[in-house]
Amino acid sequence: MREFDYLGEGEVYLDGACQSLRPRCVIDAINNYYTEHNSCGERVKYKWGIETDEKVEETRELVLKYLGLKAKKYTVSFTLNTTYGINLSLSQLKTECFDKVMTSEIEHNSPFLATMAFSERTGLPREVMKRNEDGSIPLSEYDFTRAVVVVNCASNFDGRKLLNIKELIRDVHKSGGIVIIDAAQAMAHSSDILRGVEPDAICFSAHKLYAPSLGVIVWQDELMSEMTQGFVGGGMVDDVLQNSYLLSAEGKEHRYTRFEAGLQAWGEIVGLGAALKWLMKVSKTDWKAFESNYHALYDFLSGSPKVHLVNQQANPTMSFYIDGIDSHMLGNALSRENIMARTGYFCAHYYLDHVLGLPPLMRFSLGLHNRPSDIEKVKKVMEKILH
Amino acid sequence: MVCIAAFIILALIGVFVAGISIFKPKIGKAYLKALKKAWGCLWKKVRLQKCETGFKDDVKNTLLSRVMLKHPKWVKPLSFVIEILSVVIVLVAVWAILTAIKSLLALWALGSCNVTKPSACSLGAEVCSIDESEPSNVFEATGRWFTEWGEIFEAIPDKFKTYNAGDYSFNYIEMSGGEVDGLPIAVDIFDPGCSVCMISYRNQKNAGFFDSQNVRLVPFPIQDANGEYKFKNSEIIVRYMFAIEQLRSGASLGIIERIFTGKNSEGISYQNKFNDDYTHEEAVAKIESWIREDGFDEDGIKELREIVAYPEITDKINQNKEIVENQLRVKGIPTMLIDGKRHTGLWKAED
Repeated sequence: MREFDYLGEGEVYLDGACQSLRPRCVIDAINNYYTEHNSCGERVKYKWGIETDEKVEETRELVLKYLGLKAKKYTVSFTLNTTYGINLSLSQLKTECFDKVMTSEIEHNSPFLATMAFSERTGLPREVMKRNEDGSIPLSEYDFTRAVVVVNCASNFDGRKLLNIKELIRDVHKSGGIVIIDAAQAMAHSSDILRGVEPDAICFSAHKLYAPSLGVIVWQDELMSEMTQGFVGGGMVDDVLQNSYLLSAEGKEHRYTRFEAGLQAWGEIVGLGAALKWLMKVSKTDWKAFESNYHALYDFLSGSPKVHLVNQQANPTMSFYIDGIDSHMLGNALSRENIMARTGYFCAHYYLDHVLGLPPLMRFSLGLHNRPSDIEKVKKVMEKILH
Repeated sequence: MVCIAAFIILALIGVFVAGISIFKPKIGKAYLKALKKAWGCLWKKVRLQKCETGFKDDVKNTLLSRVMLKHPKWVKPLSFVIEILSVVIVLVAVWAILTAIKSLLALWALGSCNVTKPSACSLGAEVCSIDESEPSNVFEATGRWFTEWGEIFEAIPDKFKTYNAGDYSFNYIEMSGGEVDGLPIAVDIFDPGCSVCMISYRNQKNAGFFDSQNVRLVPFPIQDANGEYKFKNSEIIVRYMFAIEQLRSGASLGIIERIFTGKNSEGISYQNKFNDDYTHEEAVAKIESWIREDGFDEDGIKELREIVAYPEITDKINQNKEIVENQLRVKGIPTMLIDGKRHTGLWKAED
């Protein structure tokens, strides 16, 4: 793609699940912010600041549009990343509103550890749910009464989706609980899973969405009643007296400030807006080429008897190990060939190491930047190694 | 040699890292980082925690990733070789560290970094060492390695002990004129064949050591593990000294004086003559000639010869051996007990 023309010939980047490459338009948007309207957002009246405010506001709207959510019901707040967003959300929940916290076994450490810490801090019991091979949760096996459920809607090691996300949200809401979705891996290529569903909060990382490093919490306004105030400080208040303050988040217009203490990463937020605009304009042909790329690589890997894939089906993110070859060594060898891919347990230690008992894995996670020649190169190098 | 090898290995690692850090700070930093990572991983493993990739894995991956691309089939056997090598390196490093610690402890507690063969330690004081038998095979050597630790730990309390010279029931030679009231008692253990004892004796004499203490000279012929005497004529010299003392107290001092300070007509010291040239018979003849010079008549010498052969003389030598080797755990002589302390090695004028 033209947007990734800075990629050198023969350079193959397969670590989009950690951090996607940024298209030129995103890089330009950030550069533009720094060179054209560098300013503190949401507090200044000069023209650069007004331009920043407009772009930040536009980004909030684009996030909701991308997810198909209504501004009347949801608020978009910016943080550092998904982990920070989940921790921030959990830290503000009123304990008395809930009976337990639940997560699932295939989670990234961001929900897995955050729920653990939440349980330790509040004394509420924590339950780890099983996930079926297709990614769904066997809902009938669990009691969601007044539960805080924090789960991903796409796995970070094999991309499996939470297929019954709608049913999960329905059951949890019926039981008086709330659902916080970790959408870090879904936002770039599987956001369709979130269409038409209304969880209480969605946390994701912009840097896995072709945007700069940034975290986003999209949350239902109704959640306000079940939350206490967390961090407070700059940019969050309408008025301050000697011993009291009036929070801006009380009004819908500035509700986002609930999670936004202090100055925000304005350039990154502007970059996210550019990324979303670009993503929404990616052509069907490009999506088809992307699908064709990851299918080709998946088919190649699944065709080799020495390769043990964690994936049950083709996905832009695929993890595997090879008989008799240390994955870290394999990663090192691929790097020598300019193929950048991640090795290890990808922050899913519990499931991959302790539940499945797998050795450290190799992960290929593709993106829209990948070219057919990339796949051919990976196949060629892998064939040599596998022979 | 073993302790020196251990020191050399550790020193080489230290010098290597330090040298690189000085001349190539970036590479030095990388080595230090790798070292810290290795230590972090080791520390985790010691606490039975997981360590996803350690230093060894990083090195192995870096080396073999090249091979993987060119000769994938070599990866497995080479990986095996690296695993074996890493175990060997770890064992050598652990051995080097433990041996270095053991040697330093031994040097401090026993005065020599080599417990079994003190004379082999160039870091220790100048002594004539009392060596143990060398292990003859690997199993013995391994067993000895552990028992040496025991010897060292046993000797540690001795470092803090007060040695009252009068408390030890040595068979000794009194200085002429007997002990003087009011002077402290000192013990001086020596072997007539030991060159370090000879120099010590001369130093002590020049410094007036024998006049400021009631010195009890304890003749001690060093024996090796097979019962052979380290200096071939030391035993007969000591036997004569004890025999002379039985007849005339203080008279054997002349023998010591001549061996440690005298020279023959060719200018060769008598100690060398006794150690290198004289046969047993020649040694006896020389001692008896000195005794004659000191006033013994033929009847006295005849009586002396009978006493020399008495088992009581052997008992006296063995009693001293028991005190020196087992009670004091002395690894080398001359050893002196003076002012409540134990001094092993050459006695210098400034001592």
